[in-house]
Amino acid sequence: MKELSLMEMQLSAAKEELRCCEDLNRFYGLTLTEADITELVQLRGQALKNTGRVEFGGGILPKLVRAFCKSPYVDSGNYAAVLGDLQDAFYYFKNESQDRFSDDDLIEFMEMVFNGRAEGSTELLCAISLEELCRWARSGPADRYAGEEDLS
Amino acid sequence: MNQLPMEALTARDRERMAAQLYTLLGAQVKSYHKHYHMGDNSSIPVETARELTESIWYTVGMTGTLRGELADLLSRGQELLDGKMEDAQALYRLVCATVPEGQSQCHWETLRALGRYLDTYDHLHFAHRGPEWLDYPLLAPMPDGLRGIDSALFYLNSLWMENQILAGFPGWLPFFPGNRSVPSGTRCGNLRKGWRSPLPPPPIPPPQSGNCSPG
Repeated sequence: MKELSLMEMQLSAAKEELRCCEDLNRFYGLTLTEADITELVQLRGQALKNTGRVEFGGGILPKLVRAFCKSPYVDSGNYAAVLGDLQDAFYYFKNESQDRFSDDDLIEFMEMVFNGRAEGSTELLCAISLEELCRWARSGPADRYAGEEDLS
Repeated sequence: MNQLPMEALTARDRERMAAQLYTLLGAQVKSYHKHYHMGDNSSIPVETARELTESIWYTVGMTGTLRGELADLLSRGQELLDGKMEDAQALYRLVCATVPEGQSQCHWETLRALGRYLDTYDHLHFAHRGPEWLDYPLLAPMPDGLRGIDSALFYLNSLWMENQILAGFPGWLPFFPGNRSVPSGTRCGNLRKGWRSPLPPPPIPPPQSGNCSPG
């Protein structure tokens, strides 16, 4: 039997983790087809390459799914595309913030801006929130939550 | 240094090693984020991944073998590094305690840099990193390829050797009471103000009968 290469193993693990989110997606009336999953996983590799990062495990997509599936701005029509854009934005912000946020903190912040000021636009999310991200990085936890109203 | 016999590996061994390294690197990334309080992160910059990988190979290299699981070899290497760190810290204390008074600023700066290095040396994630800003010239040049704690140990050993050599000339001081008496070209600036070395002076040999003094 031909053994799987490391890259193939990684891709399979990432796809499997995305498939595990199927129930959650269905709960919110969203679907990710097998083609969507394959494309998203391939986009992940490209996004990592573009941002000069290495990732272990299933990747960030399952966390993005869990955070953004309940957004009022996503539907079955744009779900896969939004997830792809959010994935790109996530790695971009990760580099910009020099890894000073954990994955969960960064996703929380992206979710806040995406559902607030950006009104569901990933372009606005990237354009608007870089400055806010830096402000978030510089401020303490109390200031962060004080500024939450401004961001929304 | 710490060259592993990679050439001896077959293609299949290399593949197995690569798979183990990938798993190990994932664990190291988690440990790195935890150690530096960076929260839960699934990804890291390529440069950091490269450094973590280098550290793994350096640590595994301590064992001098590639037989067995990479994770086990890493643990064994880390134990060896622990021992080397203790050696280096003991040697550092010894070197500091035996520095001749009046040592140059460069010497003290180097010792301070070595102290900082030993305080902050992260043998779990960046074991391959050696001390920086060591400007004080050694008795013998550092061998090429020496890295990590090995380079610090070599440096400290050289300093200790220098201190011992200088401690062997306690009688030299009265002959050079000031700069003016030092013959030009003699590099003995360290000897001007005496010693703090705990080492006893060497015994003075008794005069041998039958020797004729000149004149």
